[in-house]
Amino acid sequence: MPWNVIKVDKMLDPNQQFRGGVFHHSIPDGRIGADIRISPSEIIAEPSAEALSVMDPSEIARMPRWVIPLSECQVDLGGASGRMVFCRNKERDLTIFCEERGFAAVLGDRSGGMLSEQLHLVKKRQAGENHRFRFWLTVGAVATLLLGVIGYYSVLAAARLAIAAVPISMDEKIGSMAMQTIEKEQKLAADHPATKFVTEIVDRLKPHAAIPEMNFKVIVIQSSEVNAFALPGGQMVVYTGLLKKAETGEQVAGVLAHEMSHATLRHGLQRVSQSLGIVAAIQFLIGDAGGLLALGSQAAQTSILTSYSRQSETEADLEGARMLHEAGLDPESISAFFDKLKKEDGDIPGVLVWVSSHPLHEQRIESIAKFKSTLAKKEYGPLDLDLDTVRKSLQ
Amino acid sequence: MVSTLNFEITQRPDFSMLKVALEAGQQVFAEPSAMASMSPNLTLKAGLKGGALKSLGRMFGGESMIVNTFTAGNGPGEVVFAPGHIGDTQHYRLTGGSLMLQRGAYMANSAGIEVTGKWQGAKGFFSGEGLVLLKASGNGDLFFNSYGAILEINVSDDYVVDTGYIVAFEDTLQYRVRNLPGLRGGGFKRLFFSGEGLVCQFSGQGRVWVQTRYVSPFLSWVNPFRPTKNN
Repeated sequence: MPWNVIKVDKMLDPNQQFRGGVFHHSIPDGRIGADIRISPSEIIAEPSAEALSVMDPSEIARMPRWVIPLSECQVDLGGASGRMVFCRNKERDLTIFCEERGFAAVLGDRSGGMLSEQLHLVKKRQAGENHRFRFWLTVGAVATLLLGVIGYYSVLAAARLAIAAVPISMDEKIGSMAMQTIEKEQKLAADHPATKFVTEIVDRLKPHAAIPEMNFKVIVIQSSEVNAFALPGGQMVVYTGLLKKAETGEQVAGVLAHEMSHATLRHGLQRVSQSLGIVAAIQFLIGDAGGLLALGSQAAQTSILTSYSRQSETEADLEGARMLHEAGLDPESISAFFDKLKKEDGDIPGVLVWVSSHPLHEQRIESIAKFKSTLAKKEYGPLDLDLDTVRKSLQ
Repeated sequence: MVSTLNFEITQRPDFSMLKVALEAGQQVFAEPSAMASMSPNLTLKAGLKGGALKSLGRMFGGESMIVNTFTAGNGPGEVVFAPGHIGDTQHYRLTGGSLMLQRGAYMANSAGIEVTGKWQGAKGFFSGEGLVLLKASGNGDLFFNSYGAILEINVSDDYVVDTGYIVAFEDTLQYRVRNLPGLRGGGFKRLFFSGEGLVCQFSGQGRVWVQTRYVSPFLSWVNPFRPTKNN
């Protein structure tokens, strides 16, 4: 038998009971759970056994059964779900309500369609109201979303503009703050061959930096991680893992040029101002400034300062390539290093820390090559520094 | 077994505590860490009451998935519960219907009641009440708490409550989120600057419990005095 046939049979069951409730002033608290039946002429509600079981015995004695003749019943829809049917008597001092499925159908059936008509009108009115409500809700939601998107991009743009007005000393302050949070126990001495090696490279690239007066400093930290990063203001950290992995001094120079470019392009400060700006915008909307301060102190953490957007990475690639070119080194040294990493250890997670946060490497190689072709033709000399000695000293 | 709990709410309204005297074999359920003191013969069991789905519903309603069950074993005993924050505790006897509770308002209940989450959708989002409200249904005693004292309001037609002040309302009430009625004209300026943005309008018949303080303005008031960490 199809399910809808069963449903119709059930609807016509004269003894069908529904669970619902009653409002009447005689009830303590004004309301009680009830079992409801619909006879051909009346709606009859009796307190449910469970409802009586939680009542005071003295109150139970006073609980009658409540009856509303169908002929004088007025129906309404409502409740938290919006689907609860309310039946009121003529005096409107007694209400029998029910949320169960099928109640409305049986009610309509028993009243010969009269109450269905009433319910239908109520439904229609409410649907109209809901429609208007939904319309304004949608308008509101779209407007909020639009404001959010516009706000986000304006904040990004404003951050770039604002940074140009901030003095470099601010970068240095933030950079030093972040530097304090870095573990420096494994730092190699200033006269260690590895430190001397990277310092020499930085000194050669320095005159060609976009901000020549920036105070570049580089330290080497003993760690198997293949990574290097620059903090705002020009302080840089190179891990020995990266030096061991590099094949040539030019590759190290490529990485350093890229990192120096992050500092001169002030990407760290951009990151801070963007995340501050976005949070500030959100909190302006919500009206709470508490988290803002927390985020300000958090910004000193290196992870925020050294994870850049794809756009920033590409910018640093091209600026780094320009610096290499000016310094007489092959701009494609940048691509060479991560290409090697990708090819050799692409499957080993953790090895590629320096590359993984960076854009798709085919795109990078391409954009660097393209940029190189726009530069004046030049003979690129080798970097006459001895990487092998450095690597031996790291064994 | 359905039976009423023998209880007493003291220290009202600001530091209210709920004391429940259990007969042998009787149970009471409460949110985690609400217990302040109890007789040694009570046993405590923690678990996902009402199954995984109902528990998830509670979680989305701002409550813990876990509900603690206190059972009086071999004899009568008592247990005292305290809300997590300053405020009153309210008793409500469910007789087959449901009570809708604000996020986090649930505190304890007797046997015969189920507490879960009820999806509110866009209405919940704009009312600031959260996407999911708690819904308690069944037969028995329910206890919920407020921030500040609680006012009980008998709604017989329409009533407007600022969204943050709603603690609970009966399922026979319909609620809509709207712009403050009667103040149209003011337009955007009023909506954004009066501090009275969207409100809940209840209609129908039933009771609403309103708390006398709202956490968020209190936090805004406290915030300027908060010491900031200095590195």
